[in-house]
Amino acid sequence: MKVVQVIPVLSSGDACGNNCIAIHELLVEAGFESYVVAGRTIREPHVEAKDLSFLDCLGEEDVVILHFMMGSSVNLKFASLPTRKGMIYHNITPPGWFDQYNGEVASECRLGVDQAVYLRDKVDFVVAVSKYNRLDLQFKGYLCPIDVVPLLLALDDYVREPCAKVLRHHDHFLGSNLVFVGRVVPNKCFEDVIAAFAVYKNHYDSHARLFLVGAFDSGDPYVARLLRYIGELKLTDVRFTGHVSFDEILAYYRIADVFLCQSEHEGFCVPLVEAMALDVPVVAYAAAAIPETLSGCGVLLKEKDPLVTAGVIDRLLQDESMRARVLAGQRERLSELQHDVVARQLLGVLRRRLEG
Amino acid sequence: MSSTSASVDVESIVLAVKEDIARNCKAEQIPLFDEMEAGEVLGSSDQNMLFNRIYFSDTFDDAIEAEHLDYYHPLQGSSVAVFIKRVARKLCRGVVEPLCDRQSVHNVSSDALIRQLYFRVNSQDLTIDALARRIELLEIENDRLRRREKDCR
Repeated sequence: MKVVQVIPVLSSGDACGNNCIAIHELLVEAGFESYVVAGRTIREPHVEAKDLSFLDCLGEEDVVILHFMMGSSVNLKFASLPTRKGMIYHNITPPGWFDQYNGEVASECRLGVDQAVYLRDKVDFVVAVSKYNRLDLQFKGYLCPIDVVPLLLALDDYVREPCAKVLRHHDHFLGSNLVFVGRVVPNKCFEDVIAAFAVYKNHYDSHARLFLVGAFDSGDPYVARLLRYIGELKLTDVRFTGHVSFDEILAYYRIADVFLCQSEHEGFCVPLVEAMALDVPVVAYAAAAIPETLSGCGVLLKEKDPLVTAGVIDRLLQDESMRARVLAGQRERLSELQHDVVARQLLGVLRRRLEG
Repeated sequence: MSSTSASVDVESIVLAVKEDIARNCKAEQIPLFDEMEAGEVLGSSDQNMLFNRIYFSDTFDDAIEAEHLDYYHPLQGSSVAVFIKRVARKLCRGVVEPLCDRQSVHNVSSDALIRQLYFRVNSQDLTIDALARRIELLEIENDRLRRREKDCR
């Protein structure tokens, strides 16, 4: 029996791609004949990915697992295979977030939603990375078994040396550093991070800086609007880093005093776990899968008021005991997301579904 | 669920923060993001936020330092290991050396292009500054002439 993971885009730089590679390694280690098939690859993933024609030689005894992350022709090819079928569901951003900024991306998301609905009676099992994602699939009419297993993350990688250049440039300033990591897209609500930072800087720490770490397109109207907003708020210490390497990400977490997340749509939110792994206290807005990923740790805010958020950040930075308690909670949560723990859980689920 | 979560009572912290805001009259009107126009931004000064000159030069220096790829490196290890490595290197030479050379040529060309663009950007910045100063002077002169015209009437 061949176990084939299919992914529309395989990149070693993003959460879905990393998850696919980690599952492949896990399956190989467990003795399965595992393969990865990618619609296309970017940034040289350290695994040999086969092209889509590999799917044509599979039979009924084989299992194909689709990483569902976007609208793609790969999803349709998957639907037509004669094999048993599984899905790892990473969620699709609701198209409404992009409607006013990027019609093309909105259409891709809409296609993704339609294809997710189309596949509801064509898969035998699903692994969702959060209960939020499971609920999303149940709303879409999925009746097959849906197991929930968090993303398999190689947390050991986070002990690597951070980028010396970033540390050299940013580690010797007076004020606090607020950091958020994620692609600059509307559903992550960068404007709310910026608004909270503006209040924090005005009332609590005039030397504070905000680092927005993640890829952006400088021609994107959303980015344009964010820049205008920053100008309107007269902020000078906001830095968009653009796409950065892994060691640079580590460095930004190293200089961070608080990780501030105001995102309103996340299927899991890997940066929260990264912040936990690097002992950065998290302040986050309770939306989508974020409360589930934090699972009670960090500081989870039920309302999105920049004044309150800024005040809470100040408390967290001033009150040593609060900070220590938050970090202790995060470390405890992190122990549940360790590679070995999740790998055991995932392997149990996959064995049951593949061999059952 | 983490058991320590109960020890950080977020609700009461939020309440205390709200009291603090009310007590110290920290409330302020923050401009709404929805009021911002999403029009053209390219070429405006807003774009400067996306560019950090010092960081750029530093990254560029790193890139220049790593631009040349050497095919030959001193071989280390025991005499047997060195011999095996030398044989392996000779066998691979036909494939690896041209790749290294081509990559080095590409890197050097990219370096030259970036350098030219950077100089161009810098010179344009200087021109923009000079033009801005000229506009300022012309506006002063314009005001002076307007006042003079008014006085004459």
